[in-house]
Amino acid sequence: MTPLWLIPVLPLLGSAFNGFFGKRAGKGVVSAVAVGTVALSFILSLVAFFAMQGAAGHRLEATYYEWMATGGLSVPFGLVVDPLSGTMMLVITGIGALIHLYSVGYMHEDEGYARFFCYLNLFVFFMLMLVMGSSLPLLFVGWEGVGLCSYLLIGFYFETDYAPAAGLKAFLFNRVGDLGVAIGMMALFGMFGTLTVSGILTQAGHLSPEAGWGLLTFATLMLFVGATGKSAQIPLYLWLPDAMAGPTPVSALIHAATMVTSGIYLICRLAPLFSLTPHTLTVIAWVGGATALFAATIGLVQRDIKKVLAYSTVSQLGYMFLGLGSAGYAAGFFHVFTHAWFKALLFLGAGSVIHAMHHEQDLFRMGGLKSKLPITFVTMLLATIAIMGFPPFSGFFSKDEILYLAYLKNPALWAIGVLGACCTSFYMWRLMALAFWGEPRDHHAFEHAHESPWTMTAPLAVLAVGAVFAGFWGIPKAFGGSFAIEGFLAPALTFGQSHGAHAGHHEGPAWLLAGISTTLGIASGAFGWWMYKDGLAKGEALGAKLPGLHVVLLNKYFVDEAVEAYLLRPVRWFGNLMWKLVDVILIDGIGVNLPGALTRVAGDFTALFQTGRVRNYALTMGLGALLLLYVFLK
Amino acid sequence: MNGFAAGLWESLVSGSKLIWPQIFLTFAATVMLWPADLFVEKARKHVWAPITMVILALTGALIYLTEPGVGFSDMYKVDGLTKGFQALIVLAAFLAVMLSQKLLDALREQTVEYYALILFSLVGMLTLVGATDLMTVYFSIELMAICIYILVAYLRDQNRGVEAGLKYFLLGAFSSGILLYGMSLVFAAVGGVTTNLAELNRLLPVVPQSSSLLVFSGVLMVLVGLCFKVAAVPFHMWSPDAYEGAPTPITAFMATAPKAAAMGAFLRVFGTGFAGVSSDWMLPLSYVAGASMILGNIAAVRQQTMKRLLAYSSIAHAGYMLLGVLGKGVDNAQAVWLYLLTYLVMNTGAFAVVIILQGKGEGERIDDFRGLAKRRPFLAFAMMMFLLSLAGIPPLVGFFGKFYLFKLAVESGLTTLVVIALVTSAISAFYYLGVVNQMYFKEPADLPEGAEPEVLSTGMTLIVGVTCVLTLVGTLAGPWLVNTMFRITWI
Repeated sequence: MTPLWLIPVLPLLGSAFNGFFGKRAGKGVVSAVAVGTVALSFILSLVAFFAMQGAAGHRLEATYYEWMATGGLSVPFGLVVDPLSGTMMLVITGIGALIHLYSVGYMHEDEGYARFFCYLNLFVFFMLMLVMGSSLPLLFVGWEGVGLCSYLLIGFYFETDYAPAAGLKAFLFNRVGDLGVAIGMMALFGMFGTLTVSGILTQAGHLSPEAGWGLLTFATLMLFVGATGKSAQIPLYLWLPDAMAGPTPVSALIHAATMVTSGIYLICRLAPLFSLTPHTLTVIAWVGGATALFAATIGLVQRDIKKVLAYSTVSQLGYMFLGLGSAGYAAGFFHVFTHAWFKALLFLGAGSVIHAMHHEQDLFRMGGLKSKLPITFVTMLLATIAIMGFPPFSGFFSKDEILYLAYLKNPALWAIGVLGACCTSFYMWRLMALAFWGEPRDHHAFEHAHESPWTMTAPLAVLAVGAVFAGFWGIPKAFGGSFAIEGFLAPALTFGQSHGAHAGHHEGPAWLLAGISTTLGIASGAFGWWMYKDGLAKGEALGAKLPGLHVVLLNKYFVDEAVEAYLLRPVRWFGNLMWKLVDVILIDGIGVNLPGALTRVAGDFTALFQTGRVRNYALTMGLGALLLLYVFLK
Repeated sequence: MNGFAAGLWESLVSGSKLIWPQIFLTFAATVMLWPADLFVEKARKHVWAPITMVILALTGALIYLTEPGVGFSDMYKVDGLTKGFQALIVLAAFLAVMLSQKLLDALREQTVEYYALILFSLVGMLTLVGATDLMTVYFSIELMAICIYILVAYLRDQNRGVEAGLKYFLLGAFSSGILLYGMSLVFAAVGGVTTNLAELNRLLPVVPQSSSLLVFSGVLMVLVGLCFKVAAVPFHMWSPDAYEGAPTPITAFMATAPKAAAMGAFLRVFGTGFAGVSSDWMLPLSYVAGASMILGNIAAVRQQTMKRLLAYSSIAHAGYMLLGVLGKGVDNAQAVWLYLLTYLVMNTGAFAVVIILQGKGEGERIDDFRGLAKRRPFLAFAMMMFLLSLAGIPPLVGFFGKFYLFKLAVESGLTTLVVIALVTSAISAFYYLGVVNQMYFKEPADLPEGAEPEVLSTGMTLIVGVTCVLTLVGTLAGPWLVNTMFRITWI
């Protein structure tokens, strides 16, 4: 049997090595260690994955020692591989290894080369802990750890003004969510008296669904609050677009493929629990649907290539939650899987463009790169077709399954989803048209543009294969497929219990729905391409016709400004008050400095007696003795 | 008559078994002075330091080997208290000699007398902690003190040292007068029959009402005399001047060895001899203890030189230790012993750093510590540990000593004094951290042209290193020390 602990520990060792010795070791060694440890982890994950499929109940569990034991709480330090965590492990280490390789080329000229790989390896370690932890506290360690690495990597260019601020923003938003997870964990402990996933799910199997707003609904809602923080859903989505301040490979790995999906992972992990709380599911579905459409509309007008992709990620994550909320855990998770391929590819492609254009991220200054960057162009094109949901590319199957389930839950949700999909198609084709078609708008940069080295294009090619074919793992039943992924994930999602993921058994007009959404998607994609393929003129004309809408979208609905005015400013004002009044005057002044000053004065006073004259000393002694006598006789 | 002489001889022979350490020290020191020193060239006088250290090590072994017992007509007693405090004192002397060697070399002031005087003063101290008779107490205090007066004024070319020695001598004579007068009053109060502590303990509580003022005044004067030796307020005024004027290793020595000896005497005289009349001295002594903590710590705040700062800090520490005397129990005596041991470790370390930095005997100003962390990171770190430990910050060894002492004091019902001790400890952190502030957060001062070289040697490095490690991890040995090393029991 594979030593499971090696899988997360290898990247940790890599991180430690690069952190301590990376600077002296040189870039070659750093690259080898960083890519090598993750690649080894990937191989071990593959071994574990196949071992898991042969194991009883499709589950490998290794418990190493008792991690915490206080009072009624007993938490083992254990790792689990089941279909759910196994798939995540393959995504994390597989796509992770590709992105590490890509970074070797992308970060080549950066001063903080070793530091970058130290953080990136550390991220892989924590992410593996998150998915492999057999208990919620261990999962939470990973949860917090990836948040830390995300913070470190967003603020990687710490000499700039915006990167550390963006890192801080991400960290603070995540803290709000983390509090939700902590509260949810406490509530679950209160209910079940255990925090191991298997313990909770076993007991949950004896419960019947909660009709009202009970403690279980509260606990699951709190966990969902945590998920909205980590996975950038309304209302905690604001940090993800800013997180693009980090290096592009980070955006691809952390802020597209893996970390941001941990909210979905958390809900899938506890799927039987969420199935017991229909109210929570409804909340999840509506929040997911709303985010999907909302973020997609903002993406329509962004100029920064990475910002477009960031809003696209927020939007796609919304689809995943929409799927989960419609009780389609397998569908939601399936979209995690396909999205990991095409979104990582889009980000890496964008990185390749940015790299070629000498760190230019403004779409309005690109154009005509089709001939200069052929590999990047073709792979990104494939990813675009995948994300817009064109059959039979991967995005089609997963998104369509989600929309179908949403329709069964509430047709309004389906309508929102289709509208969002149209926006998705539009902004992606707009992005492609602006970057690759038309005339170059920055001739200097255009002339120096060149295709990236093999370390960058090879991962693009591999990811492109995934973007095209990943969907075949789950051809929905409505289209004559078997939705294989659902059966595969079933042992993890149902935990051997009857109720759980049983969506998709209802009947619905599947072909019709898919036809409508696909047609609309193609139409809006074509419209986006046509608008921008010859430059900016047509887009500007449209923007001028709808000035109000254009300004609102361009400013992202002014949410950041509202948060600043109604949340941050009062908090800062209160903080200032506490600082200047309570801390400086009351605590520092009256509490600390005043006694200090008095002590000094007293010290000076005592010095008066230390005259240096023996007669005064002797007098003091005599008077002291008399004083003692007086004290006693009094 | 013949019978008396034979009895005397018998008593001397049997008693001599108890004082082998003192006999050996006296003999060794005398031989060092004459004739051994005749054979040592002037340029090679520094050999006396290692020789003295060997003598001290042998003395330590003798102390270990001495069997408990009572001798010299109940005037001297060897028990756990005696042996425990003797070991402390010898250790303090050993460290002081180690601190001295390199500095005296640098000053070109190596003489055999310096080391011999330390050994002679030690004879007094070792006897003092075993004294069970007021007469033994008195003459051993004098033996100790006279040697130290001379050591304070050892650098006779420096006015400050001579002045300090003279002041100390005059005030010391004054306090000896008070002590002796107090003893005579106590002697008179019991009808002039005995000065033996055990006898006094039996007789004092039953003296007639008419003599009670005699008893009280006598006890109070003895208390004043001993308070002078431990430098407790208001009998402390000699100590900042003497500490500043003395050669720094002697300052370190004075802050530990005589203090330990006087504390031993305090525990013995007040814990056994005057235990029966404790209502007479509890209140005055608690005033003295409280005043020492308050004044010592407050006055230290504004000091400009490291030696004066440590002098006031040692006044405050004497105040803390008096809690153990006031607690009046075996456990409290152990706590005092333990406190002295931790104090010895961190105090010696701090003085070692001062000696290393001070070059050729000039007083080290606190300003001179500016930016030490940049110039000498290890030294600054060690100094910080000593200072934090003196302030009683966990988990350093100073915290452990304080915690144990204060805990027992609370159990003995001295709550008010412990509150004072805790508040003044907080004040002490203020000035100790002031030095840390200078070392870590100020830019280094420009060293003047031709700055004195550091007094650095393997021995000095060893002292700083070992005391620093002990300060850091000594707490780990705490339970072992408390439980097994010295069960200080007497009576």
